[in-house]
Amino acid sequence: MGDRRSEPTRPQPTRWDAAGSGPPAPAPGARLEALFRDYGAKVYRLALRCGLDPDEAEDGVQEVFLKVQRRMDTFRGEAALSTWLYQVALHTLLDQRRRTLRHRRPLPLEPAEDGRGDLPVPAAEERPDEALVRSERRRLVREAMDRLPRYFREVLILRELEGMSYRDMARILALAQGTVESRLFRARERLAAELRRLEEIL
Amino acid sequence: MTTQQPCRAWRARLNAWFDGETSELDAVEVRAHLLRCAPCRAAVGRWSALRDELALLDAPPADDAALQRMAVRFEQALAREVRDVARALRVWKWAAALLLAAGIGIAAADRLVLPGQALASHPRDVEEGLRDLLQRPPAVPADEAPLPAADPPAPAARRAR
Repeated sequence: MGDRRSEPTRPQPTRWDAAGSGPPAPAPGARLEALFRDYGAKVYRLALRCGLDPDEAEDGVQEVFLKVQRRMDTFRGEAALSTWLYQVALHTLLDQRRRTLRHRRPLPLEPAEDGRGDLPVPAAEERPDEALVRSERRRLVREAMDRLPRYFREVLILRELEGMSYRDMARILALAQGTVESRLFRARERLAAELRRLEEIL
Repeated sequence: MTTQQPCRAWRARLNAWFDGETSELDAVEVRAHLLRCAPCRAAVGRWSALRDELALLDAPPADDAALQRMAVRFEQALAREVRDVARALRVWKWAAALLLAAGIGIAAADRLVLPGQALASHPRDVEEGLRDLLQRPPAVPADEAPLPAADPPAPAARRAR
């Protein structure tokens, strides 16, 4: 534990801009298909990281790419296509998460979010009771995340789960890097406080 | 329970160091500061623990079956979208054509004098028009109009003469 505190583990950055900044394909349909091929899996994973369950995530991916198709004409090429796609995706998926939360019951009665089943699936070399504890802990963290304002959730998802640099985050969120940094600091402190509060309640 | 906040002066650098966004030189300075500052050490510990907790929310990559399913669904949705747009365009075209036809019809109806309407209105209108013309005083051009009569001289002027 002491080692981890002195040398923080860093999430691996996601290379979003690797494939999206090349020359555009000639036909819009082909371009869209290529976009889906390149980014479909990433958007799906982002949807899960935003808190959607697998079924909702599939719906979310579809909605994101349909939005991209409708707004393709408004893309002005000032940013990389991947950055623009990511903006649309984050916005759409967090909206969808908000909508699903409205129809869900509060934390103690909420079903486990582990995959499609009701019971947590143990990881390899993990005991069932450990899997249960991990699942409960995950629900708690998810609940704490859901209680944060959206702008805090955005930076935490992009940094801690997507592993993005401040520079990429600033581009996607259309903010100055200094703002990203300070927002991240406040988001962490707020999330820690929310977790403490939830632990006290439960 | 209150939490120890990191030093205000070091907050930004500490945060950047924690996220691996500092230069090597900055990192050395931050590490040196951490050795002697308990609140900053506590903050870093808190963020580390939080990072571990947030890792619980990470998701596995999509499997091939899910990707295939999404691709098929997306293609279907796209085709539906294209069909809907085409249908909407057709409706708009028809609506525009109808509006145009209605507009042309109204404009033509304004100018059109039907034979029955012309016969019914002709004798009386002409008769009244002629009577009106005959009763009107003849128009005199402005330069041939008689000048108004000059005012007689005032009595005082006449007395002075």
